[in-house]
Amino acid sequence: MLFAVSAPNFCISYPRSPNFTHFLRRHSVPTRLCIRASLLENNNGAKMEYTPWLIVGLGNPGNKYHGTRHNVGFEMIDSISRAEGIVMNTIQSKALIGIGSIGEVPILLAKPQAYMNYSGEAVGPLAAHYQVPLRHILLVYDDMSLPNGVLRLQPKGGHGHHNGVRSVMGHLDGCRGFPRLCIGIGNPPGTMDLKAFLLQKFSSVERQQIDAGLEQGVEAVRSLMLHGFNQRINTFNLGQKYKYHKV
Amino acid sequence: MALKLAIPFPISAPPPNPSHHRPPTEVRFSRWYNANAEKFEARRRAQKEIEDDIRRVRRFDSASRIANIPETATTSSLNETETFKSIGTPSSPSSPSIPGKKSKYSKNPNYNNNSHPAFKLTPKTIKIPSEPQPVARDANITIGEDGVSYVIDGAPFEFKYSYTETPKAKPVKLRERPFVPFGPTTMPRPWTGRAPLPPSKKPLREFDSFRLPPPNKKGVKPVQAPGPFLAGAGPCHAASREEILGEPLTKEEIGALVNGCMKSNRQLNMGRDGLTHNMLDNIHALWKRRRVCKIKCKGVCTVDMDNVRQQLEERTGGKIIYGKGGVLFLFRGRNYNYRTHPRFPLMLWKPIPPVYPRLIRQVPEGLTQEEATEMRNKGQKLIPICKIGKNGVYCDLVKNVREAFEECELVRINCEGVNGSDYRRIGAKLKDLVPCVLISFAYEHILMWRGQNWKSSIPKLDTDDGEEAKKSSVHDALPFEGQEVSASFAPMISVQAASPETLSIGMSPMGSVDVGVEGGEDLSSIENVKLSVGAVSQECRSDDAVLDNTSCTHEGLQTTTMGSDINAGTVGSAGSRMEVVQDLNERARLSAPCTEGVLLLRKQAVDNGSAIILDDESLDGDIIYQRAVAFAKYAPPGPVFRHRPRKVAVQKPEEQEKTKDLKEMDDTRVPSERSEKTANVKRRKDFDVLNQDVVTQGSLRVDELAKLLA
Repeated sequence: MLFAVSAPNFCISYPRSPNFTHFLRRHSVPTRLCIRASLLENNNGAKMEYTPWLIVGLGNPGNKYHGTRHNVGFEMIDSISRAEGIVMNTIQSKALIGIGSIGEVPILLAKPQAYMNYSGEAVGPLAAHYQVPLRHILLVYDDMSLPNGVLRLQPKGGHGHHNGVRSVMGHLDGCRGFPRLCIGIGNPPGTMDLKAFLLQKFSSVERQQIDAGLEQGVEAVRSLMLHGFNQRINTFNLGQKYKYHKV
Repeated sequence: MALKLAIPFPISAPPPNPSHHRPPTEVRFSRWYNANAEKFEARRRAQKEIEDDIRRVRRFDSASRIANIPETATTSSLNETETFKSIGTPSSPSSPSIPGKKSKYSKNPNYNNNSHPAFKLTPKTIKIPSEPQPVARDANITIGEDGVSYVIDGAPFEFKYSYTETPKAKPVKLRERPFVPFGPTTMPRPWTGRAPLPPSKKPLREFDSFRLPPPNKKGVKPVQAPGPFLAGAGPCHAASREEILGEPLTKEEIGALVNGCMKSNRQLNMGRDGLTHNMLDNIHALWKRRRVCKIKCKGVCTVDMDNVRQQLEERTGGKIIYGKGGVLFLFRGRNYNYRTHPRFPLMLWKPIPPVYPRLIRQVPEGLTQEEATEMRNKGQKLIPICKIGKNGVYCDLVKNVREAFEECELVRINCEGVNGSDYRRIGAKLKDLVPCVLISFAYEHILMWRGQNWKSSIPKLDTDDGEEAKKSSVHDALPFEGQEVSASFAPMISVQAASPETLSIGMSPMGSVDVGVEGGEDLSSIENVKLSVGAVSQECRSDDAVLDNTSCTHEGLQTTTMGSDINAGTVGSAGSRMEVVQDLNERARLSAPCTEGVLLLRKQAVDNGSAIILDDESLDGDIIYQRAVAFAKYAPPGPVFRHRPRKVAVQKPEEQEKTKDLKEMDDTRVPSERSEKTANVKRRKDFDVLNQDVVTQGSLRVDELAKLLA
């Protein structure tokens, strides 16, 4: 694993995995690196995927929009970065990113600094540069079809009339097959204007619900990275769906 | 002045033919059409009317024949029209001109030129199954075991008022004296509610599904042929249920049948009484004309659609070919013949519903009085899991209630607006299906408790977590022994120096051991770590397995309970060492081999000029945004994300290897793969119009590539 030592020699030091020999022949330019074959160290044959995950939170940049409903994606990313100790200090492709890992899985946290409708411009090139496959892009965003504070992890879905998700889908080659974490914010009350509702800050009760929800979400994200989509995620979704129907 | 006319006023055309309207005084037994009494109910025409009809039909036929003579008329047709001779009417054929002599005009009008007795074919004797004997009208009727079903001798199964909605509980008593709903048994004919018409002399034509009327016949309601059959096959006379159904239907046949029936209005509605006895007769009446019967279920009966389906198939003998939500399509069978369908006596009156034991007990079993009242009070504040409306489709209700019981032992359902007896029936069904105990129906809500013997259906997953952690940690310890930890640290620490906050932030989740590591890591501590790395890595192997796991597993296993317990345990013994070890953990976590690749990519991006790393002070929202905007103006455009489905990626690269050696590894591989392009074009249609100018950014590079490769 002597990556950092000398770039031109790296090809030689990787005789092991079949994927790598394939890539060796493909490009003679040594400066480029492929991290596709990260299925290393599988001595026990355990099926853990070490391909990096890109976790993107959608929101509007700037302090003016801090704490509004449409920016819950940003808040989720902030709580993940606090929990995992990842500092977000790099600006690349119109987004603020931070690199770290959960367990053995490398993750990239990203907060696009383009306005919501153009988030895709930030996400697409980022995913392409870091060679993150579509199934490892986790999009975190607000969802009005769920009650306030209820989270849901889905392996794929549609845009649900969310302009940010729509732009991301467009820049990801029109694909909808990436997992998402939807954070519920509830319907606008009565005849309130939709945009005004989204750019409003949370009320105190809702704030507490959202904070609790974010913590649970961090746990869920960890479980997703480590174990993928399995029964645990279904249990999590069920628990979230009925979490307010308790006495 | 009044005019006196010879002919009484008003002068008008002769009165129009009495059309087939019934005399106004006749009472119709409107609510329940009784198929068994058809021959007593159909109106018979008088002789004169029959003759008038025949006259009219013949007149119209001749007129239409004249009107439709083709222009190139052959002599034969002309001959026919010219040589037409009247043969009178059936009751008064033309009398012969020479009395006593047989005249060709007074012969049997049905006698054709072709039908000489010598040429008549003897019909083959085909054994046709006769109509099934309807249940004898005066057979014994007894009440069945559950107190609501009627057992009649000769009936294939016991009759109930409703086959799907009969509660499983036994009735306690009846409110009034019981009566038999099948009509009186004293008459030789079915009860029709009025005096019967005189029977007609004309034999009633029987409806046989296998002999269809000719397609152009007027006055005949459309009938669908039996089937569907493959070309050449025909219907066969079937007796048993499986024979009537015939071969199982193929997918295309099902699709065709369902599509034909989808938009038709002809359907049966099933409501709060479920599958009633008389509905069976209606289904057969629908099957007389069409192969598929559409049944729409709404309301209470949809809570248990499986039971509805099973009862339908069992009682009618048909098969359900498609069902979605509350709609069911019931196929009659390939060899179904209306003539031989089972005939049951109809229920003419609704039987008196018996009294059932109460659904809700004041003190349900397993609870004391206080607990019960406490539950009821808690239930007032509980948020209902869903709201059901009148006549809705409640297929998912059982599943949702079961899921909700996983979280809380009480579940509340909002039934405002629904009929009282309806939501009580829903409650009774839920009590049987989701096993639960009903607590209250107050304020038009259903409150349920999951019962004492409730078991969760989701397997516990906590044990998996611990096991996996142990497994992975043990295995991870092995490869890290041979690792040159220090070498990999060197380049990383320069990056870490810029962001020492992470260490302090990262310490907080450790929880139990905060041994003064917070509050500023200076470079000195980092150097310490560097020096002691070698020592620690030596110690790793020599220590017992417990510490081994904590120090050498740099992965974030700190979240597992195992890690934190051990940390807490060894605080006293190796306080300072734990500090170092934790420093090691944090550093190592950030510089773990898994992130190396990603970090290298980032480094390349920085070198490339597409990324910049900010320092601490400028981590404020607005500053970040401004710097990002400024940076984006002069940064080179990033690569475009291309989704490559796995299948394509496996096959194509091998070919391309041979043909194109000097292919620059780029993220866009568009020009060579046509199939993807068309897929891309299709997907991009949904893309928002606003952002189209962005797309061109990526495509520029593609054009350059194409020029290079061309």
